[in-house]
Amino acid sequence: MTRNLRTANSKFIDQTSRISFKFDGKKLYGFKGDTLASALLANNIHLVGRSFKYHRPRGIMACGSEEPNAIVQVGNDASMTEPNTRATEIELYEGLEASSQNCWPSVNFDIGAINNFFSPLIPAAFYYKTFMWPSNFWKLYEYFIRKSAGLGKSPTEPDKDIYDHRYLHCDVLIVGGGISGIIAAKIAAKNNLNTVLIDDKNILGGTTLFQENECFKVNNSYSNEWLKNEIENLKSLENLTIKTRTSLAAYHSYNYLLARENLTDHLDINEKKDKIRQRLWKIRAKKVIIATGAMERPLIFNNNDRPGVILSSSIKKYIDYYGVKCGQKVSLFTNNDSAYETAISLNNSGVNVNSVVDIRDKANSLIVKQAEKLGIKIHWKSSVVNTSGYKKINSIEIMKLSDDGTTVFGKKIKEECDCLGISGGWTPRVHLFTQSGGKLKFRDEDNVFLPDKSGLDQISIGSCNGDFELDQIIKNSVRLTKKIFKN
Amino acid sequence: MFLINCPYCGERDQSEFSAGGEAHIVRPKQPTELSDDQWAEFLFMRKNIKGVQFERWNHAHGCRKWFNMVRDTSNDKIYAVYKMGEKPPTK
Ligand SMILES: [Zn+2]
Repeated sequence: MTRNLRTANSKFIDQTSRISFKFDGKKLYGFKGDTLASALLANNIHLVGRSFKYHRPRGIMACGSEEPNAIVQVGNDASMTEPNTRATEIELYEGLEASSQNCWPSVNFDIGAINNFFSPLIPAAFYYKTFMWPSNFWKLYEYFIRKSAGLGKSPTEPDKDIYDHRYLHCDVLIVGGGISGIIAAKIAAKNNLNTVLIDDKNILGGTTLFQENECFKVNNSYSNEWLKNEIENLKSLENLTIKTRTSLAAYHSYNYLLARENLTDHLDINEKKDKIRQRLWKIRAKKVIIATGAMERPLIFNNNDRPGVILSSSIKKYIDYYGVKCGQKVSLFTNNDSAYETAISLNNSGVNVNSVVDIRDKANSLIVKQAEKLGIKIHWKSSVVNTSGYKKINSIEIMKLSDDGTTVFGKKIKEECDCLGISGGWTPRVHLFTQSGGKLKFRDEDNVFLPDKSGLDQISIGSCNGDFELDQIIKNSVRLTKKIFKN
Repeated sequence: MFLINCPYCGERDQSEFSAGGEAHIVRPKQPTELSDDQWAEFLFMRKNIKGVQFERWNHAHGCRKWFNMVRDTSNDKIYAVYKMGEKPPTK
């Protein structure tokens, strides 16, 4: 393992218990608490796949269920292999074997990448139109197309695992164990309501769990310490059931929901045996509280798809939670304050932050001032216009933005980097709300869709309801949760 | 998947019930006096309203009794459940 990509002081990774796993046949090491993605990044592996049409190199871009690139095949057993799983969601276990998909013969040398050079000659629907004729040649084409298109391999033998399904009835179901979900769970359970709190991660806490900064304090303590204490207090509440590693799969009418609980996927290969792998919960809830949070948006510029271009909040999670440096020389590109949190976290962990490129004229928030104080360089009113590096980013080009922000001018500044964090603001995760039949409204100030009307007994709280500031999140989560119990 | 409040058993999952179509269709007193068209009208023609609809339901995997239900088909809200032979609610 590349030792210098790990920081020594990560609180959530047990650096004494080493785990071995295989990626594309190569034996690698990670630690207990890692995901496959964080372990790969710690081994300096960014390149994990290829794009669908032009087979451009693809790297890990996020750290959770929003990951678009790190889609891998797990296992090579004929009955147990599983395609299309996200490396960011697989907890590392002893004996894990994974491989990249959509590449042939290998992720590092991919024949389909030749399409990238001929891209001007390959119009939309090229495959369908070209390989239609002569019709009896399809059998020949198919073999190669399937191989190079590759969406993973399905198992060829019946699944040997044991699965289970159960019913669950509750007064309140809270989806998402971040800060607002935890606040709601406490209020609900203290109201003598039979409450269930579910989260898809292995521990509760969301992103506040590793938010240790002067700018984010609750009752005079760091927000992460405050939250840790709140989580500890939840354990004493008798009518609260907490289910981690459980993701909600469907939200039907009359608050009928389906959730999948992962029971053994994170265990070592020899511990999994004869145990129930996953359980489907059929949940009837009188009230549902959605607290699914928000996800960061990418930014648009030339060649923004290179391995090493990662969402800024994910870089923060990798460094603060997993203790993994996504790069040694990191640049950041943003249109809002959150990239500065990442810059400060990186700086505190001894990672060289080249600069923050910010499209805004200037910002005077506490977090920006904190970054300035640390001596982090900021390019105000500038934009990243291009990147280079084939299998991994190696430099970016920065230009000044015009007054109206529609064009760039002046000299291109070249900045060498091995990782670029991007932050285009936040999108509330309203997916569950819309699946339940809810209608959205648009908020012009920050261009987000927010939950509006719903026919069901449910509310959305926290950042999935458009609250992005800590004090707002706490205040409104308490207010809305109390309100839903009144009627 | 809605919850249906069977007038005999109470709240049960939708999967226990089967829908029986439009309610309150009166069987003609003298079927022999009807033309084929009129008979077909009685036998087959059903409304499929978007909005509030009166329906018959059967608690097939429960008490196996038939009952009536008022449901808004646009959002599946159930406004009333009442036994066969009872007067439909006016509001
Ligand atoms: Zn019944």
